[in-house]
Amino acid sequence: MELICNGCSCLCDDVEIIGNEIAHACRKGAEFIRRYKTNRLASPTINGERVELDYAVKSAAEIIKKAKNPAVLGMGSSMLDAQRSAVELGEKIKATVDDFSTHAGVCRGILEREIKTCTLDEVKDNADVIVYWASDASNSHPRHLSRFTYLPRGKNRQKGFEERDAICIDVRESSTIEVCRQFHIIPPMKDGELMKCIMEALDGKVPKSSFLGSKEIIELSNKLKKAEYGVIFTGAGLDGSARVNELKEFMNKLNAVSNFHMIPMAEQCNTRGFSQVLHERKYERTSFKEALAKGKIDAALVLCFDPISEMPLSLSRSLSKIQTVVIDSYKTPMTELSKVAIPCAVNGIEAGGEVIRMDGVKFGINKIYEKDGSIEEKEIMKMLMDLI
Amino acid sequence: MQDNKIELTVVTYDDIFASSFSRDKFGKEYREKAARLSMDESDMNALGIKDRVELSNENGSVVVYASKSTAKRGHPGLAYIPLSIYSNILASSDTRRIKVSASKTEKEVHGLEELLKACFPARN
Repeated sequence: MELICNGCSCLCDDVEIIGNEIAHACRKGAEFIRRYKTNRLASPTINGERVELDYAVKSAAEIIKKAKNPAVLGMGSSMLDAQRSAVELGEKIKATVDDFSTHAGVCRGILEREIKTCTLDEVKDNADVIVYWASDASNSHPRHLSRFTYLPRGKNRQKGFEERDAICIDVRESSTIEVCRQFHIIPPMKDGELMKCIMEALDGKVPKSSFLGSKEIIELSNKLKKAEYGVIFTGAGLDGSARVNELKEFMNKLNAVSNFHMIPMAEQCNTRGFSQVLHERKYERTSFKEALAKGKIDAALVLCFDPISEMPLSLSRSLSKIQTVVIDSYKTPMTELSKVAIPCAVNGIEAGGEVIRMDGVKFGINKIYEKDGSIEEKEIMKMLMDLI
Repeated sequence: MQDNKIELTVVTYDDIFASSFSRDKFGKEYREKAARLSMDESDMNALGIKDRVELSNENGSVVVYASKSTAKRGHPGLAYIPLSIYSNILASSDTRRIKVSASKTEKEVHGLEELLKACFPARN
């Protein structure tokens, strides 16, 4: 049985289940499929007590309706139809909508055609210079280098990695650095400074950096300048370190002398899809963390997401004090702390739908196994929408 | 040596092994992968630690497993840990880079159930 893995935003479409074996999947994708029945959220609960589904949904709707400043969170692993419902709900109740993605700015720049991009298939066929900037793809997107970027033989890169340069820029000696031919270790928060230095070198000036030698920066700049088809993959580490305006300026400067594209290493299987849904509906993503820190959120609907594992404890404590509704397949710190928890079928395994890969290509995912009692996230969203 | 402390910058990252078990956060495998600090050998020696370390700052403290870094270049003063609730106990607004004091400990690494009880006492 062939399937599309939704373990990350690579959406590998060559994964197969042969008997008890999960073939071609990476460690992460295989574990997600193999252990999909482990740690499941067993039944709807209110304050940890089991309740009927209808009652849980009704209580969830009451919480959302009563809220003066609600938030809708998560959705990175939700299918497109559930994402659309969530954004529609967000519009209706004027909610803070946030997926915690660190790639929101880059995705927006791409969707508004301010940042040049391409597909992963085009990378495979054409790319000769590949830059992983603050991205440890070997850990976050394990098959990225072998399926799409550095290792495969493409239409115009028949020799595979022999015809490509893969460059890593990171604050640590990551697993990806082990694979790439070249790397530059920079101190935390210095990405913006390095971009400025590269731009100076592109202008023919001698760059002055506090952490890398001028020669090293000039050599890197020359490599970027000479690329026939270059791609920069932006990782989560770039967030907070370089602002999206700096990235745009850098790309414009680079593209005045070279041919570079940018693709965000979107965290979850449909992080890119969520940006697209927001863009289609012209709804603004706003920072939940900032609003929560200012005491401006009084209720949250959390979809297939565990913000407790993603934000500082002080904010998680604030979140635990407001009314929260969680729809998730698995037991998480968030489901444990929520007022209402509603289980759903596992997206991509028990429930199919459409998702968008990190490069903007849409895929239809079929379910692998029949669901075991729980209903799909989109159906729960519909029940909620009908009551609100 | 017991009271030895060193200052570290902890950088969080997405670890394939921790994320493989991220749908079972209450499980032992997740704890063993997510609560694991990769340290420079010289820092481990300075603290006299073998397998565990206590990290603390103004936001809180947490005990995690300590492993010798596999990086070829030394990185004293810099340590790496998967982004998770363990690292978030110490995080201010930036969950990616965290300044901490590290010290030797005999305490155990908590599982997520115990950690939630300790971090959210009002909910239990």
